[in-house]
Amino acid sequence: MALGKDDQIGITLLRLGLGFDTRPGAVEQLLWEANKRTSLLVREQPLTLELGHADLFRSPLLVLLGQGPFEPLSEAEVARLSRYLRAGGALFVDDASPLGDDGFDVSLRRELARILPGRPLVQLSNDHTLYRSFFLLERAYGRMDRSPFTEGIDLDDRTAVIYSRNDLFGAFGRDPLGGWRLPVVPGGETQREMAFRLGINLVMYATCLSYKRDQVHVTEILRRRKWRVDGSGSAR
Amino acid sequence: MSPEAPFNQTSFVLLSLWSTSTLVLVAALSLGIVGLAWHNVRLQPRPRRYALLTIRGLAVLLLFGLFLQPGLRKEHVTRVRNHVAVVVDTSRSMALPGEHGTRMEDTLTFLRDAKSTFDGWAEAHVVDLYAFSEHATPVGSVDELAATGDVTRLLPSLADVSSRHPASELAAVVVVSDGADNGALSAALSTGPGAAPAVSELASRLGAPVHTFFTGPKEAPRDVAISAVRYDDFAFVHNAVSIEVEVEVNGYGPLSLPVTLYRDEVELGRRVIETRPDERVYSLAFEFVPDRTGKAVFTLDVGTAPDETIRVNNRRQFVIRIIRDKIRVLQVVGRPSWDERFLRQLLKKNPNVDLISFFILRTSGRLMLVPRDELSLIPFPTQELFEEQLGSFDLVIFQNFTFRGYQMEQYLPHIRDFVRNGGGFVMIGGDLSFSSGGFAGTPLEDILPVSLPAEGTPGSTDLLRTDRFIARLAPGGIHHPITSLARVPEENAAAWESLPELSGTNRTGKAREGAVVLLEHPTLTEGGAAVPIVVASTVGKGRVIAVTTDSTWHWDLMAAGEGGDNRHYYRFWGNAIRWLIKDPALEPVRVTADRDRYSLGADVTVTARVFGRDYQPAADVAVRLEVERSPDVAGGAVTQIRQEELKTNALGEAVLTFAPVADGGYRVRARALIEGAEASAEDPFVVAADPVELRETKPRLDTLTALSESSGGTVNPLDVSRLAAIQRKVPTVSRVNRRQDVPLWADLWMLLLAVSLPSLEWYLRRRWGLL
Repeated sequence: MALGKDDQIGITLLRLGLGFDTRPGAVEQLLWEANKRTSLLVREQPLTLELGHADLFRSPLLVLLGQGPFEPLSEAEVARLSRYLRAGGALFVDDASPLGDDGFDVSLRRELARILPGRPLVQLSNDHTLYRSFFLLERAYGRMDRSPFTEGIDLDDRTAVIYSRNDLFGAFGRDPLGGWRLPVVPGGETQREMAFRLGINLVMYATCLSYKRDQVHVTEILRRRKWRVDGSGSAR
Repeated sequence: MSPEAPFNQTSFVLLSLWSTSTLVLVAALSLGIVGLAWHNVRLQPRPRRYALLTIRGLAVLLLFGLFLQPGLRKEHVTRVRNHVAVVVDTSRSMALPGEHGTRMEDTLTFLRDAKSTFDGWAEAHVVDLYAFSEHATPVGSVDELAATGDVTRLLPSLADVSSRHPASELAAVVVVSDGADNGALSAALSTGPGAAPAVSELASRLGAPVHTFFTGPKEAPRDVAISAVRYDDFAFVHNAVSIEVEVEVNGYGPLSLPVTLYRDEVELGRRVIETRPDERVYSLAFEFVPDRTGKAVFTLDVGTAPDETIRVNNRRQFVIRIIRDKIRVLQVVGRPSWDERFLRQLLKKNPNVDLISFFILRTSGRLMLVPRDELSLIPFPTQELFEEQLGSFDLVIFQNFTFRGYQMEQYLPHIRDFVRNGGGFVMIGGDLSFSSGGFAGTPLEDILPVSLPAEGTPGSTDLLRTDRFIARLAPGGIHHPITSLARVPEENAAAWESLPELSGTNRTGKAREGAVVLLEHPTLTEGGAAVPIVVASTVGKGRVIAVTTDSTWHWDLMAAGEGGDNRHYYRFWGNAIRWLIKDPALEPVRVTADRDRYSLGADVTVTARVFGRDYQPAADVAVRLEVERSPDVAGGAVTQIRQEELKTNALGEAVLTFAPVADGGYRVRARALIEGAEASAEDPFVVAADPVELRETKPRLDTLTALSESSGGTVNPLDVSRLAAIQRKVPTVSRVNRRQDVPLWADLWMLLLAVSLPSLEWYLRRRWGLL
């Protein structure tokens, strides 16, 4: 555990738009899994903050869950989020909209263009550290399979904004009886497991940045990827 | 020359100052007048016509001549003698054996014998005697010539002669030398036939033939010499360094010659040259990997051949500055955290840091049903890091890391010794650090600047605190470079007060004796003293910092949230890294010699600079300066040369100047007591008696030939009859001592003639009825 409460690894949900509270229990479940599978000691309970909250800069990892379009941010909010990202904060955006609803996507791209002008979202290649920060993954996963990739915006040597359209956090939540709140689409528990792996990788990437791109890891990772491709390939 | 001397030169001149256009106009007018006369008399009988035209022509011609004002210029003129520059090589190679005596002795005999020849030239030439080594300087007599110069630079020396005499004033240049140039001429010739332009340009500037007179033996002296060494003045630690050597062997048959390279007195490598009679130059290379930074004296030594008389050129010493190319940092993290994340980002952003990170991403107690090949995890290479490669790092960071669980106990003494031998170490707080990481009682506690309460002992139950606080600048941190966020102490204190709160500390004991508490807890105390947050200490040759919190990242992201920025976070850690790796700019005692290499006999000036613990210049502090000379052979004794007790001035400086009397590797060491603690620094330098002159002992005719051929001169042996026959330019410059202009037109007869001719024409015309 970290010495102070501020220093525990955790996720802060951004209170913005309509979807921020649509995946109850998802953060807790993801961090419980991270706690169980990795050396991370985490604060499972998420904080939920508005952009103007004083504690925003105590939270290096923000998650924005979204559904449907949202109103443009005020100039002060744009400036604050831009300052947060440039100072070292990270933002993960998860589009939890139903298939066919692009309202959130449109709003998000509009606001990101204001927050980080001149830096459009770009597709993260499948050798991005996000896909190797703990588990070796080949592509993006989530409750849905809307897109095989994630997008992101780089600042300096890190990807400060990561955007998934696959309702990643929708795969995590459990109901009070222990069952999954939402089914994965198209389906299969492998899909949910891979979503968890991506979620854990996300937390690892937020805390370790490009660590797994260090040369000391590259050879071993390449060897394992090749083995998997040439071998069973069943984990894809 | 007296003004009464008779004129000895007369010339015809025009004294008028008319412009050319005026002269042309008057000439045209004169022709016009003659033309009118012809037109006027063209119908006259031939005799009359010719007579009148002749008279008119003569009159016009006479008047035009008077218009030009002709005169005689009488002058007394003397010829100016031009110069023969006799340029004599006075480099040290001239003291080597020549044909009869030394090369210089042969030269002096030649010059004395040539005196009558020089006297015979006195009518037409001034003979100027020059000595040259690096440059040419005039000398009054042959007796002043001595072979003492450290180099032979023919081209610059002849350029000096050229600058003293315009080409028009030089009759010839006589060079007496063994030709063993070691400057631009030699370098130019070594590149092949295309090297001539530099020589040709100089010959053109001289404007006179360069006659060279070669002095030297018919055969090169028997000698073994290190003729060339190629190395870089600085090299990177832990990177291969190459030193290339050329050994020149003259006059020997088969030999087995060892060539040895030393760093200080430690042998780095040895090669053996098997010489052959038909081969003169042998090239070889040494390669080694320096394992520590700093300046060092390197010595190359080639074995002495039988009956070798010139031994000074068998040894070459030089200084190489070993620097770090990058600061190699090993960051070991017990578990990912925000503190690790921001420190890693800081280290990765620093272009001077070569970062190797190892993070424990999964502990053995974690549940994991995933095949290993679906994970990116790699084994923790403890042996490689802490045994094999530890010495290659400059700084090791344990960030919330415990050795327990990784079978690392055996490596803890290595880390302790790494620090004592000069490495840097930082322990950063967290639930796996300090006492919570089980470091109490381990070899690492020996080097930490704080004592550690052992786990399970009374009072050890509360090893972690979680309260928030603003770190307070401790007295030891007010001027310390690590906690220097601003130059002015008041601004620095204000900067620390403005930083965001930290949260949580590891409980430790007091700071150890000699350690300096830089930041402390504002309210919590331990044994009557404030709880230390950042503590620094020197351990052996190394340095250690303890940071008893895992929240310095607050000074990065949180500072930005409070309207500031992360510059204080970057400044603090940047300072800490520089201090840990002993950035020379942060040492309390510094000493430098003003050069790395001196010629034997030159003055050496060393300057010691002393700074207090507040890192301000320390005035009036006693500094002990010790100069010692390294042994000539490995295992020999160090010779103390000077020991001086000096006081620093207001700038914290103490200066010592002295002239070493022996060549070799030297080391100056400065010691000072700074607030009770001794600090020292040292700087090596070389005093060399192996001037470039003696690296090549054989004379060279090719250099002299190049000079003579390009200037139209001749190459000669030391033979006075050849000297008498050299081509010399005849003096062309004259000097006018007295001059008088005598006008020819200001003469009564001329006037009468000028009046008579028109009068005669008038008379004839009147008689012949033409008026």
